[in-house]
Formats: sequence, structure tokens, C-alpha cells
Amino acid sequence: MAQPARVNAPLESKLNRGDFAAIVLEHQSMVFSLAVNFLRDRQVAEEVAQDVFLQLHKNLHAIASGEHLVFWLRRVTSQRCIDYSRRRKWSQVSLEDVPEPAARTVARDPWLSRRLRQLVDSLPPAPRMVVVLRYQEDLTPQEIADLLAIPIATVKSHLQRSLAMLREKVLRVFGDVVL
Amino acid sequence: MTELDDELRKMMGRVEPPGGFAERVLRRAGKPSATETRANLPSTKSSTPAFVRWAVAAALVAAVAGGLEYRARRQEQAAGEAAREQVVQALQIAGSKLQLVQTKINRLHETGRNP
Repeated sequence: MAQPARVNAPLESKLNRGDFAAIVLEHQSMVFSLAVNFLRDRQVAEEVAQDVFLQLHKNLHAIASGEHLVFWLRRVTSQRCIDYSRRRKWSQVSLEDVPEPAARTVARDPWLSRRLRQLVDSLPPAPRMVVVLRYQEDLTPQEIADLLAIPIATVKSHLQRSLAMLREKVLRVFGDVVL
Repeated sequence: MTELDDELRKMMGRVEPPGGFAERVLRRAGKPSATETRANLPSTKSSTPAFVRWAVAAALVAAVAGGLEYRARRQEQAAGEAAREQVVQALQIAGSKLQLVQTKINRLHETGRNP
């Protein structure tokens, strides 16, 4: 009897061997980074990332391919992070409430990274996740829209507004030489 | 591509999770969840048809009721027997007393005829 053609053999072989551990090791960095870049708390990020993999463990049968696995992990991690953030009423501060730094500094200064981080953390959950997916995973607006199940126009709007606010806020301090 | 993009990209680079992350995930994955544990427990729901369960219940009720009725009748019967025995005993006592009186009367009569 002829065997059916194998699609995505690497994933299938892993699943057939029951090697869930290999999947965790391969993708733990992506999942944990999404969580920690969004939540900014390593302990909470680890809990979220563990829950994502446990959910995967229960749903391995539904994963059709390696691409599907990555999509699934990104989607579930994003959803869990946003849900967690909304439930916890994340200590979200309005961009306007973030204090201005006391003095100007030069480009590439660690101050700039810290300042940018503060500003990104102050974004509402959905736009913040859009920014994280865009810059951590280098996803296109269309890919982000598919992942978060929202219209592409919303993704573009989140990106444009977030970047405009970040740029404006940083430029006030660092000047247009920097950005 | 702006410098802001570069900064954001650098800021959001991937990082490794704390050591032992995969082991902790695997350990948790190895434990059955509460729902799975419940699912594996033997079902408390009986596979016996409902009408059989009702018949058994009715038979048990009838047996208990019959037992109570039998016990009540036995108690009544015992009480009746005890009462009859008491009456018989009372009659026996009364009879012996009468006999004693009769004997004394007879003796008095005999003493009167032969002083």
C-alpha cells in the first residue's frame, strides 16, 4: 500500500517521535522574547511563555506544518500577552505623562534606548504588540494583521501613530540629528 | 529605514529565556491537568438502565415496608399472648382461693355437727 506524500517532514518527524522538547528548545527564544518585550517583566514573561507551550502540547495534533507552528506560537503568545496586560490593567502611562528627560544627549546614548523603551511601554496593549511584532519578528503589516486577526488598516494605523508619537517625543529631547 | 527603526529593532532583539526554561515546561507538560485527571477517573454514572434502577429501588422499599409490617404484627401477637397468660394466671389464683374458702366452709360445717 502506497504511503501518502509527506508534507513538512521535519515537523512530522518531531511530532512522530514525540519530541516536544525539540520544539520548545527551537522556539523558546521567540516566544519568551515576544512576552518579555511586551510585558517587560521576565518572571511574568516566563509564566506566559510556559503557558503558551503547555497549550501547544495539548494542541499538537492541530499543527499542520512548521510554518503553522510558528504562526500558532506567535498568535497565542500575542493573545496571551494582550489578555494579561488588559487583565492586570498594566501600569500603563499615557505618552503625555511620561516625563521629559532633564537634558539633551548624543546619538546612540543608552539614554535613548531607555527613553524609547519607556515610551513603547506606555503604548496601549494592541499598538504595543504591533510594534513588538514589527520590530522583534520583522513581520509585515499584513502578517501582523493575519496574526492578530485585525484589519491591515488598523495595523498600519497603530504603527504610524505609535512611531509618530515616539519620534515626536524623542525628537523633543534628542533633536532631529538623532532620528 | 530610519534611525528610529534601527533603535527599535536593536531594542527588541530576541533574548534567551532563563536557564532551565525547557525543563520546567516539560515537567509541567508531563503532569496531567486537573481536567485530564478528572477524565481518567472511573465514571460515577451507572451503566444500568433506568427502569432496572427504579425496579430495584421499588423492591427495596417494598421489602422494608413488609419488614416493618411483620414486626408490628409480631409485637401485637406477643402482647396478646402475654395478656392471655395474665388472665389465665389470674383465674388460676382466683380458683385456688375459692377452693381454699370452700375447704374452710366444709370444715366449719363438719365441726358444727360434731362438737
